[in-house]
Amino acid sequence: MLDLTHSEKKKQNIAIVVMILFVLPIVFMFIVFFGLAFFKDGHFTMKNFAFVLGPMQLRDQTTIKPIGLALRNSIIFTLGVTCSEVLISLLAGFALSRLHFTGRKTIQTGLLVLRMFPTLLLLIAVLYVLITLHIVNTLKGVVLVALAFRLPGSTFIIKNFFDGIPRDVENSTLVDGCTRFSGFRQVIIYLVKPGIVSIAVFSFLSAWSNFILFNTLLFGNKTPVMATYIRALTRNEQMIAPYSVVAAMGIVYMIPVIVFFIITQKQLMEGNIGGGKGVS
Amino acid sequence: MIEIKNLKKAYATNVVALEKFNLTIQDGEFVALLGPSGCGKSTTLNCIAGLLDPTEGEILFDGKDVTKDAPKDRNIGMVFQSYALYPHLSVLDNIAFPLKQKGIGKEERHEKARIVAKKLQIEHLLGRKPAQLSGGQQQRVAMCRAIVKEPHILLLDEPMSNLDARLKIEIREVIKSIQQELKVTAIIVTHDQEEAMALADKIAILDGGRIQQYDTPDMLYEQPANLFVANFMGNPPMNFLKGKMVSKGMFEIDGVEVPCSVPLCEDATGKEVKIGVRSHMTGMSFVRDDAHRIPMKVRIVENLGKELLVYGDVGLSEVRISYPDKSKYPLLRECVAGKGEVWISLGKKYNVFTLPEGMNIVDFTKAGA
Repeated sequence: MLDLTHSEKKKQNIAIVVMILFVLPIVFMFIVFFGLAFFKDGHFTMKNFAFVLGPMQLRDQTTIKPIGLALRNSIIFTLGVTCSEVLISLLAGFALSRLHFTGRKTIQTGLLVLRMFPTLLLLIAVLYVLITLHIVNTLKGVVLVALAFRLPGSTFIIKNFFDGIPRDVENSTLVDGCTRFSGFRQVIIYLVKPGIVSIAVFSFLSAWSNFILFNTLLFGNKTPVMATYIRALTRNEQMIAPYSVVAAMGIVYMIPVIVFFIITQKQLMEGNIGGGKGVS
Repeated sequence: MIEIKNLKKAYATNVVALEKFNLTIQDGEFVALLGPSGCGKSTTLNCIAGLLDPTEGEILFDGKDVTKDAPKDRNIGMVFQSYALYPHLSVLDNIAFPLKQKGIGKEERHEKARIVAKKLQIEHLLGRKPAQLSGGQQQRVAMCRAIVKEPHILLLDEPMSNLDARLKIEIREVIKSIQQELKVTAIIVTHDQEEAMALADKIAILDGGRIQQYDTPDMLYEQPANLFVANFMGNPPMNFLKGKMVSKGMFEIDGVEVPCSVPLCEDATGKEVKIGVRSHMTGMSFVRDDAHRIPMKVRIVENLGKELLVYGDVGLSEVRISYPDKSKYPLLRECVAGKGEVWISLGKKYNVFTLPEGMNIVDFTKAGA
């Protein structure tokens, strides 16, 4: 800890006050949010979460389908995208960083250029591609699209992590009796762990909170996911569910993200790869 | 025995790093590859290790062609300049890593790692991570990892360039004693000639991707094959006096005629030459007691404690002379101030290099070195 002088402490106090003032509205929003979800007429209640277990009857006699299917689809989608994204970008990034082959430069520039295209611009074209491949309106198809949109960015990021690994370490694994793959598995992968974690986190978050892809590419409510499930109940013209139920859904939607963050935050914070002299 | 035959390595950008490279290393020998940076010494080592594929030529271990073999099939241990320890593994696991790749059980490989660690006096560090070690300790761990699998050949790629001067000498002793104990064939790459002299049985001096001379340290020092080797070996560096061979057995240096007292293997009459004399072999006198003495302007005098080191100019050539008589220090200081001059002689042993080829034309077979 730093020891602050008297005048510095004064300034610090001012900073704290300003910070609290800025944070207050956000805290207020959260209080209202949780209040809506958990309290009714001043009493604690879990009634708003009824949709988790089964069909939920609302006051105006409409029923909400249970969330189970949407949650399942969302989890499948997110895990599918995250795992394949990490795996593919790892392999592609390693190849781009270490191997010399024709077209390497082009692919590298391509990664950057592809990142510049807004996803929305390509949606219509993507729809046609999915129709040709006969995977339109399936979760499988959306996984592929989401993956295609995300891969250039994550490959580029992980490639830079690979670039940072000294050649000597890799050569050392080869001399010590590894093949390229076993060296990669036993040593290299640990050195890019912060990169893997950051890709995984961003991939997870973007996949979990994806809305636009589902909204455009999945139609007819055949395969509901979390985002479209909540959306279906909160359309402007037909506000079906009361706010308290929507808030409860929001909390359910949030839980996996929080869990994932708690798991990965330690790795994410570690940041450095334990370099030290000559190793980093 | 390692045989390197006609090795050539060219990179994609048409840069030739090695050419017509031939080297034979006997079992148990300690060989140094010495040269300035960019001379191809690390390229050579990487080719021997199998980390680089040579463009042409072949490498034989005990008569077996290994040119196309993967590094893991060559039974080599290697210490890298940056040590290349695995930061996520403990020191013990780092050392045991090569054994793990051979499929040796955990107990056994840890036991072996401990024995090696003890040999290098780092057994108290085994539980730590590489990042928690000092440079010298990391270097020892890297040594342990290289020798734990009892390799046939030990390769050292500038293993001491990241250490301070005292540690260098300490690690040097460690490397030498380990090499002698294991009787392993070792090849070290270095740009430090002192290191090479201290460690190696034989030194190959490289420049421009070619071997300039491959010999024992003593021979390199006494009988350099060409100007490059003469320039590279020894500290302080050899003195070079520019002159001309005016007639058979007579030089002219800075206007003074000096008879040649060493046998030459070719008649260089009429050619420009450079005469190379070691600083401690160069004679110096305050009076011109001999018509063949060459005048020198004294520039700086350093008192090194055991001797004086005199810097001066003969014509355009810079000359350093080690002078054992320290009582002459005040006199030499006066010379620096411009109140006198000294006269030098070539001594009995020197080298004659023809220009512009730079080949040594002294006939050492007759010189009776």
